Amino acid sequence: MDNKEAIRDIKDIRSMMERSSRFLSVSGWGVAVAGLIAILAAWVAYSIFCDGTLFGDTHYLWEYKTRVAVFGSLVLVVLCGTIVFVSSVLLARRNGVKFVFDKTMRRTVFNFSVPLLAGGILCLALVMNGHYGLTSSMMLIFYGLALINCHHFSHPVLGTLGYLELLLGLIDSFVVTHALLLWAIGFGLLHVIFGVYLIVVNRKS
Amino acid sequence: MERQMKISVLGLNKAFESRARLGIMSVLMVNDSADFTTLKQLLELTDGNLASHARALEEQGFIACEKRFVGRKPNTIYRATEKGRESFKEHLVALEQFIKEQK
Repeated sequence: MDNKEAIRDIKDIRSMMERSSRFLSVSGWGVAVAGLIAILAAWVAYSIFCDGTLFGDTHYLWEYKTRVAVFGSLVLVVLCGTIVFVSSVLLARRNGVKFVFDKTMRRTVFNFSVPLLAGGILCLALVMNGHYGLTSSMMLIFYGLALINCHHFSHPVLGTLGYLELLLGLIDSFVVTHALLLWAIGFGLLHVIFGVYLIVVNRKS
Repeated sequence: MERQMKISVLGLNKAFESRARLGIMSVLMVNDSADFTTLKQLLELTDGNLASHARALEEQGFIACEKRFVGRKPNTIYRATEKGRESFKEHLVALEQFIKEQK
């Protein structure tokens, strides 16, 4: 055995340990596209609700608009989730890795879903009871917590994204007037940035 | 210096010298257990290859295997034993030492 062999052995061991314990097939393209859709959605919402405080106005069409917005956001969440999932499957296929619902993926999905579902149900309750003001910050906070909760089992960078979302959500809970803007930054801009970062990282490996 | 070299070379465990065995041990160090199919996919080995390397490690007492049936399909689950973990750690330390001394 020479030095090069020893170094290669160590590298192999590291990559094996990482690959077998982390779910790494997260597609940057999927995340970036989801971010763009979120920015577009925020823009559409802004033009519908005019004043930018999403659920703030007391317009006579208010209830109708709220329903449209809630329904629209549910559709969006499903759409973005699907895009990220499908593009991740494609990424795995390109890398020659079988995309199976294995232990690392199960752990990631489970740890991501628990805070997210709790937050989603809480937001639904808030909207149903007419407390619209805090929904956007709740969404950001719980989404951030979901990412922080699952990043040990997936891409480490998801943790950074999670802490940023959490911070934005907390800021949002104090700033009442710019809910939609902060929402667009958190779900739109940050996803585009992290999507591009993931594309670069995935290409390197 | 000379004495140290000898020790580190002795510390490198022959049992872990093949790529496949190194891989099996790496996976089992960070996971409680792994089944045959998962290992095969991760390490990109054929059935026969994985089976023979796993058997070699099992004979040395580094891993333990447990045969189960999922429905009617046989499924083997592997775990690293305490002895296997200790030996692999020693092997890693020896590798590290080896690289340091070569510099």
